Amino acid sequence: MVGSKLILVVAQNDNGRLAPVVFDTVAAARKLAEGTGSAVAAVITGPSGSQALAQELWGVGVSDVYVAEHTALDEPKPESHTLATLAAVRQANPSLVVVVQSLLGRDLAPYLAAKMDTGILMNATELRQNSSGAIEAVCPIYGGGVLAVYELSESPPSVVGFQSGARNTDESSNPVDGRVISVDSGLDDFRDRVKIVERSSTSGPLLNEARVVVSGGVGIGDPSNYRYIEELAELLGGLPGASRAIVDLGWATKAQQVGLTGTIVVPDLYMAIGISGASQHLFGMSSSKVIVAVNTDPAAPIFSYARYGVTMNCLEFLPAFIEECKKIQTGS
Amino acid sequence: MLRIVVLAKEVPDSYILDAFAFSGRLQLNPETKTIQTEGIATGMNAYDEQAVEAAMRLRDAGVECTIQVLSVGGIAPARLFQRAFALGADEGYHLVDEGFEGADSLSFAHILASAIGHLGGADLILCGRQGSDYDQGVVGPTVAALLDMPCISIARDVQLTSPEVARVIRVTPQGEEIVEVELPSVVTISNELGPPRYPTAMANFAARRKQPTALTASDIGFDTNRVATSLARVSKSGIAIPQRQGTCEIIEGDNPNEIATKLAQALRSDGVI
Repeated sequence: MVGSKLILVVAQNDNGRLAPVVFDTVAAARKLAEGTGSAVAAVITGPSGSQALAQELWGVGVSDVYVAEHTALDEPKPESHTLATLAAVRQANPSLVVVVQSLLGRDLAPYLAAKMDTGILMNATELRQNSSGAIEAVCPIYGGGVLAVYELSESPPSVVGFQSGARNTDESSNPVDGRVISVDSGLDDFRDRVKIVERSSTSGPLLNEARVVVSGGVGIGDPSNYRYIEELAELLGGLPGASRAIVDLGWATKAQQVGLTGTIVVPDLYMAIGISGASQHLFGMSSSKVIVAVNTDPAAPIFSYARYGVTMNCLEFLPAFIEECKKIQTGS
Repeated sequence: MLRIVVLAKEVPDSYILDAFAFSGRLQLNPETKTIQTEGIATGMNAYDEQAVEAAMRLRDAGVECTIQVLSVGGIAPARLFQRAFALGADEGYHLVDEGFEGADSLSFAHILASAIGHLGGADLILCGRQGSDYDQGVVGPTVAALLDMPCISIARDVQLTSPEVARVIRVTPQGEEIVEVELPSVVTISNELGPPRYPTAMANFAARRKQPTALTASDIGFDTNRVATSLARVSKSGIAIPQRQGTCEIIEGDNPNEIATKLAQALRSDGVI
């Protein structure tokens, strides 16, 4: 398609798979592309064998998948993945680069923008076209307390980090017969200055992929009460989460922190127990499908985001709700 | 002597701002597309304070070092630098020039990189993981890219294993990661590093007698045309307070069991449990 604009989605091989956030980002890019008459292509960087992941993208309607494979891309390091992505960008010549804002993508996007000498915007939760035809991105600022809209130049192509959390379910995507376009990553002479000495490998599901998240805040009163949060999360087939306040207090781990500086979650059910709703927390969960807030203060901001609210002390409510969920499980 | 440069940003006080947002009192200025900052004090970005603290911990561990703090523009830079000096910074450099006005993220990084070059380079560049105002988190990686350094983000601990290598503990949502990086390098600091030290009265007093050095674009060899030509790349076109659902149904009942039953029924009919 000569003359047609191209939106390039940037993703990585994440332990042999594409993270679910990749598909959210592709959906957002496709939505934007429909309005602007653009095409959507993707780039995957990773170790050899990464091109097998291309078919997952064909499955959601992305036909051109640029793949850079190299041993320097075995680990999730920003510099090498940026250089490989840069090679793909030069080959694809896009009008917009949308980086999946994974942990690696967060560092890669600004690094890439600096190498391309172009504009950069992170944390976009929505991409759209404005009335004059320009591309706009919506992104939360001030910890989510304010939404800013930015216009993105397409020449040179801007780099935008897309923050999954906007919940872009795309039912219209039809599988296509796609192709893999090999990219010479140019990494043969790359000298790596970073050595990963130790990495905790969490097994099992990650917080941002859970269908149900039950989070506790300081309202649970005592670290020992976090066990109720864990028990309820397990009963509902979900994972326990936490506010930054109780992570700072050491009642829960960093991996459980939901929010701006923790994990962004978009479960079907989010239960905020004893959480008042600081904007930095709301940033991380406000796109959940159904939000339940349990907090004694009816004026707490969390209730403005919740579908259901309980204003009873959470320590009275939790045991009763846990019993209720057990009853449901046993079908009695 | 290890040359540590800390990049610091002046931001509205995030606690006051949060309180304003909480109570729905946050006002916007649609003309300038910024928030109204009357009644909101500004100061050093808290993550950047922790970057100064990270530098001080290296010094406490016996690393011989100079700690220089750089900041661009701002409304009340004196307060920022005073804080930096009180926390232990040796020198402060205030980068100020009309030609910096309206700089986008990347121009900002170019200004900082030029200043670092002008000051004779750095072995370790520290900054907060993000500004608490715009939450972009791009300063560290962009400065690293421009100076051809690696960038290690979201650190909670930085140590030197040799004069050429730093050992950094990162806090990721998947758990901790320990990396070793060759210097020179950029490291961005996360809140898990812990709060900065409480300056002694003596440190506060000494800080008041120190002044930052002002540097202009021509001092640092920065071409302000770069700002002018990059203005239109990413430009703010609107600002709004997010819409809330405001449709919360409070589940009432005489006792916990009744409320629990009602809530469970509602969640089952919504198909989420």
